[in-house]
Amino acid sequence: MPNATTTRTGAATSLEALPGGHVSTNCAFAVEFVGVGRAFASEKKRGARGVMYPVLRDVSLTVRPGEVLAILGTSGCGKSTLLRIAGGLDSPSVGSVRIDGSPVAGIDARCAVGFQEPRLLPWRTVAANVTLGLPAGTSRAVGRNRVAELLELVGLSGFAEHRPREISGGMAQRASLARALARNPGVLLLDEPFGALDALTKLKMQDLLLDVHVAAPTTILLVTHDVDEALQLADRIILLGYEDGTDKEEGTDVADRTAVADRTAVADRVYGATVLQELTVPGARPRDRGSAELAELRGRLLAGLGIAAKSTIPAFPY
Amino acid sequence: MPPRDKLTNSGQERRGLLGASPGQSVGPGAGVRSRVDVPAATERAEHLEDGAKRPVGRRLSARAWYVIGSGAILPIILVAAWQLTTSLGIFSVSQVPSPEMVWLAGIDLAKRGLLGQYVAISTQRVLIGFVVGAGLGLGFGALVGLSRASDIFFAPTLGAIRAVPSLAWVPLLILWLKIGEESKITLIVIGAFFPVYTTVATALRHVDRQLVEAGRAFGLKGVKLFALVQLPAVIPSVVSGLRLALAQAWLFLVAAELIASSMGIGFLLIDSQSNGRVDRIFLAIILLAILGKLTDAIVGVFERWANRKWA
Ligand SMILES: Nc1ncnc2c1ncn2[C@@H]1O[C@H](COP(=O)(O)OP(=O)(O)O)[C@@H](O)[C@H]1O
Ligand SMILES: [Mg+2]
Repeated sequence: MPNATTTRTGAATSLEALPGGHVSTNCAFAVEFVGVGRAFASEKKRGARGVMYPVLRDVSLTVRPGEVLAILGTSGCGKSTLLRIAGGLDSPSVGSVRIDGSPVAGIDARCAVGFQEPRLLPWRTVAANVTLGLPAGTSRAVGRNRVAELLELVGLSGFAEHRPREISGGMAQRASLARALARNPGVLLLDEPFGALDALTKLKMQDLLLDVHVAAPTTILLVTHDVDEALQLADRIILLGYEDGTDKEEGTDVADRTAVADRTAVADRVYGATVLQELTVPGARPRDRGSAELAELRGRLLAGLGIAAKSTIPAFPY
Repeated sequence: MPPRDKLTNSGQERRGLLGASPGQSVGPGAGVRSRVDVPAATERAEHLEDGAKRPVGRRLSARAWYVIGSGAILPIILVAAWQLTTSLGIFSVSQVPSPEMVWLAGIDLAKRGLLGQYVAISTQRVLIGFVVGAGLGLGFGALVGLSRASDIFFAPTLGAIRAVPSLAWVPLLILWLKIGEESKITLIVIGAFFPVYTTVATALRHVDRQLVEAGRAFGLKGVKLFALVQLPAVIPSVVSGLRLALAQAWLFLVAAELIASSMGIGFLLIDSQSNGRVDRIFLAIILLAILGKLTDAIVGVFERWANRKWA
């Protein structure tokens, strides 16, 4: 597991690809999670001493500048929570997050978030919504050009003056991606950005994200529940889930608890999810979606997701 | 015609992203992919489908002449029935005067310059009271809706003041402010304050958290967050609160004028009652109906505009 004490990693990465690129504004940052844990207060039992439900525990991870990291995990295991912590929208109960060596405290201007939902302001046009993503201090003319470029990129040029309610959900999600890109972020946090898209648009948008990354290699943390998406886009994949056998390590009486409820369910609630697997995806992008090497990894990841849910390795009908 | 989709396949067109200025070239072959036209096609389909739901021609109920004409039918029938009952002598004229008598009473008052004066002074009171009350309601509503601390601090007191029936204020206001304009306008301010205060505070508390969070994630905070996210989100509720406040303002106006005044439509009512002038009572009621409906229609136009723009 990468350790927390990684030295300050340089900001100006790989813009060599763009001669004369604005290194000062266009950079990728390292993101370090140091023993991050997050527990939420339970809503039911408000009395006594306020029961806390751990969602994440002991997440330690270093994302290199310009790296694309996919975060896989079953629904509700804390993927969004981890992403929100990285962006400063939520703060960890224990541990800390550092971006480019400096700790994240509150909403971080170096990050841009593509939320799981489009979250467009309904009273603004698509273009005006994307404008909201521009970094503070962008001049009007520059901003207008940039927004036009981004809308073109996500294929919404013709819908710039439409209201969010006048476009489809998939288009709204793309507008939301454009808004995050407008920020010119050092770290791009994407929470299931393509989940709502139809299969073909999804493939197209995945390729588009790769193009964006080639043009300006920012650090990308991509939450997804789609194993194939992770394999296609990421340099590295982490699998979040609940560790087996944490019960025994803690020395508690497993038999008693399994009598009451499903064993993993108890473990989930008591201990929270952490990084179960971490694997580097071989091969340069764009990758052949049908390659045998990826198929092997896919099997492993799916099994990992399966264990998290059922404690056995199911056969996946893929 | 659906706008042309422009998802492009050209690496050239994609350069300059993420702040790199146009004119820089991406490495050769960067971003060349297949499947160019797929999103374009799905989008066009999506858009067409959307367009098909909207009727092409305007429906009858959307035309101005139809709306105004249909709305006028019932008042015309009512006036005709009124005329009929009085000319048939069903009620005595001391109970129900004929439309003509009411009209003449109006002409008579107008000739003496009282009608215009009464209408003007009442409208003035309502407007001043409405503007001041709605303004205060907006301010306190924003404070209580946005800040938990002010909510805890102000809400119980304001709730208790709201619970006091309007007429209970009258003796105190007269004692403090005498029978001048201030006492009446203050009462109207109280009346206009609460609908706005309540709707604004409630609406602000229920602004979509996800939208607010998105705003914050993109660097908005404080006044800017309020102006760009929270305020626009509550504008439709604010306007409907304003509409309620205006109705309340007329209500409180009559209460104030009935009790202590020497001018205005409420005064006309109470004065005519003591003189037994039922024709003037009818006139005053009709005036209130027309003025109230007129001012409400103005706010209604504003409301429709606001809903189109902000909802
Ligand atoms: N603000 C919050 N308060 C209480 N519980 C929360 C909050 N945010 C998330 N959770 C809980 O944390 C768990 C993980 O949520 P989330 O990170 O959204 O999962 P994922 O994105 O992996 O589906 C869920 O059980 C959810 O109920
Ligand atoms: Mg999620």
